[in-house]
Amino acid sequence: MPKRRPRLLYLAFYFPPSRASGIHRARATANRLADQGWDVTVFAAPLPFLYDTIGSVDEKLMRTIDPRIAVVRPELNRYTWQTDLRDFSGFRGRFPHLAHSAYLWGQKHIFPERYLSWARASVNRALRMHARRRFDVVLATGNPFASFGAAWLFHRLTRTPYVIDYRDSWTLDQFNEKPRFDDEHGSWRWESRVLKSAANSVFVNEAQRTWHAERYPEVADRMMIVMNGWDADTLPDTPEPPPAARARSGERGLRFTFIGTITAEQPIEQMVEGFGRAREHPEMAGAGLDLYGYFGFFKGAAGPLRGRFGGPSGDQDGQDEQALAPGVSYCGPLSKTELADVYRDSDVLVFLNGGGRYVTSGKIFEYMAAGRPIVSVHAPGSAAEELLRDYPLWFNPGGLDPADIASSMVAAAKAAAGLDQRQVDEARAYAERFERTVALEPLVRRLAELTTRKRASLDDHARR
Amino acid sequence: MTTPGGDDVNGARPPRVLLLAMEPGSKRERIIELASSFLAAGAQVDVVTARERGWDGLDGRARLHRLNPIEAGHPLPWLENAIVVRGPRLVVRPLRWFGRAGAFADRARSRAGRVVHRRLFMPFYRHVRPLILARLARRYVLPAIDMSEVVRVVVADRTAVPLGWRLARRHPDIAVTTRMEKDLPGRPGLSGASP
Repeated sequence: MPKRRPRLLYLAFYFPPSRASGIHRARATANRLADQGWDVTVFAAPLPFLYDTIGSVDEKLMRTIDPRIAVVRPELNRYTWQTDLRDFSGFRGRFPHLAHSAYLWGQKHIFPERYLSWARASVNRALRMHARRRFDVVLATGNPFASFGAAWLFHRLTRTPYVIDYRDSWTLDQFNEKPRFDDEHGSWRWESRVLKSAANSVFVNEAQRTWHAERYPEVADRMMIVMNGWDADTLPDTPEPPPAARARSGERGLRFTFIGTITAEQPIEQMVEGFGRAREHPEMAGAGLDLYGYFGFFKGAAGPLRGRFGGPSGDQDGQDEQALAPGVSYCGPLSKTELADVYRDSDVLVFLNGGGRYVTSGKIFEYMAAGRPIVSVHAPGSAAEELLRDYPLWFNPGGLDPADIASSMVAAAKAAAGLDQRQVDEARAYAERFERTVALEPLVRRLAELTTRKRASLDDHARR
Repeated sequence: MTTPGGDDVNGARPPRVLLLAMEPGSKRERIIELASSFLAAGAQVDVVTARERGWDGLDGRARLHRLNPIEAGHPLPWLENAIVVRGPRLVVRPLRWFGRAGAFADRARSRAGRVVHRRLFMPFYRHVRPLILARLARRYVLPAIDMSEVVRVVVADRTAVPLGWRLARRHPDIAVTTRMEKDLPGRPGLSGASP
């Protein structure tokens, strides 16, 4: 009899076509497991929520999903997101105070997050699917952390082991580096409960793991680190030297590039001022900074963020939509398939990051794999510094002083112009350890162990 | 050009915006500001509220419809007041002529009335009131408003939801929203209006 493929239930609310923070980790994990012969079922956000409510989608990402992966989209009650009264239910339309009290009761007494209804629907769907063909293991990624709650409840009802993946932190505000909730908040109780029953909990860096281990020492031995990584299908096998090193002197202005989502936490003003000062340097004549990506993760974020660049707001007629500040251009979002070309045409990469020691931007791995000089623009102590420390083409201003940022940019530009293939290869060789399949390996191995153990226990039970 | 409250040069009536702010609370200033911006953009503005006070800052060109005097005469609160306050007072007040015991009985009556009103009636009335206000607005306010001119209904608080929800169902072409945006849908000349 052929051996049944291991079956995974992956609770990943933000999954393509969503373009939310961290979806590449979920996408890569599902693809990797499907590639390794797993039968993967992903529970993701309903499409009306992604398209109509938060307006945060990149349809091209759907093409990067392995067709063997089954994507199920349980219902979500969009209570707090509804602004058009036609979307209100009859109950809410007639008894708004009662509907609100019921919503608050659920938040207080069931699960303290507005994705609660999705978690409940997920458990219902999962139980029905499990009854037909059982899941061997559950992997839940947060945010939203209702997915952790759903994994816990499914485990309670079916004894299926689960692993929780802290793509973001739940009770820790990773940007302010303080607890996110007061001591009485229900999230603490839920986090403790979920961690105690989890087979493993996974964190993206050591600082986050340590923070959680100090708060939950009884489960610290089950905490793992699975860093983010770069995806081999988005970059060439062998990056070539930057255009500045290939072209004759003065043939083309240096291209500084930022790729990623521009968010409110990032030190945008310092980057713009630093770049402005760097352009005053004779060797930086004609240099430009191109920004690729989205403004914020949700619709409506663009205006205030564009305003922080100090240039035209871009929302009035007759303005250059691209110009954000002198020399700084906005080039729009990129699909995964276009990344390789943009990296190839870039001389220097600007690592604009808003987080501290708990935030490792997923983009930094791709930056390193591109084999380009990287200029850091973030507060000292970022988790990314640990990774960049041994990267041979890292230019660190050591802080957010625009003068220091400008100096680092000029130094990086000079380095880019003199790079040869050997140096680029060395940079790529360093980044190879962060390739996604390598980074995911401990998680894949652990999931396989849990599946084997679960099946052995079921077989044992059947024999008895 | 459109003049507030009048016809534009083509003879078309200016658009109308309905602001439903039954219990605006801390949002009152935003409502007043929103009304000013719509008026500045040439729209007509009607504000429907159940709050008597706090509207001094509202632009004089906006029409303010107060429902609270009509609500006071509604049978339900009137009946509650009659049963809980006026009736017992009628019975107990004369007992005050009998000295301290009578005064004590009157105080006890007053206290019991307050408890019944707060603990029993109000929790119930809180959920029924939005429906009553919606009904009163339909009967006494909406007939004075030409709904064919209305392009947007802004619902500022939960108490105004039943009225807004009913308007949304009866007038599918009108935007009925809780978003306090200053643009007017389908009116390019007024889009992006600012105070």
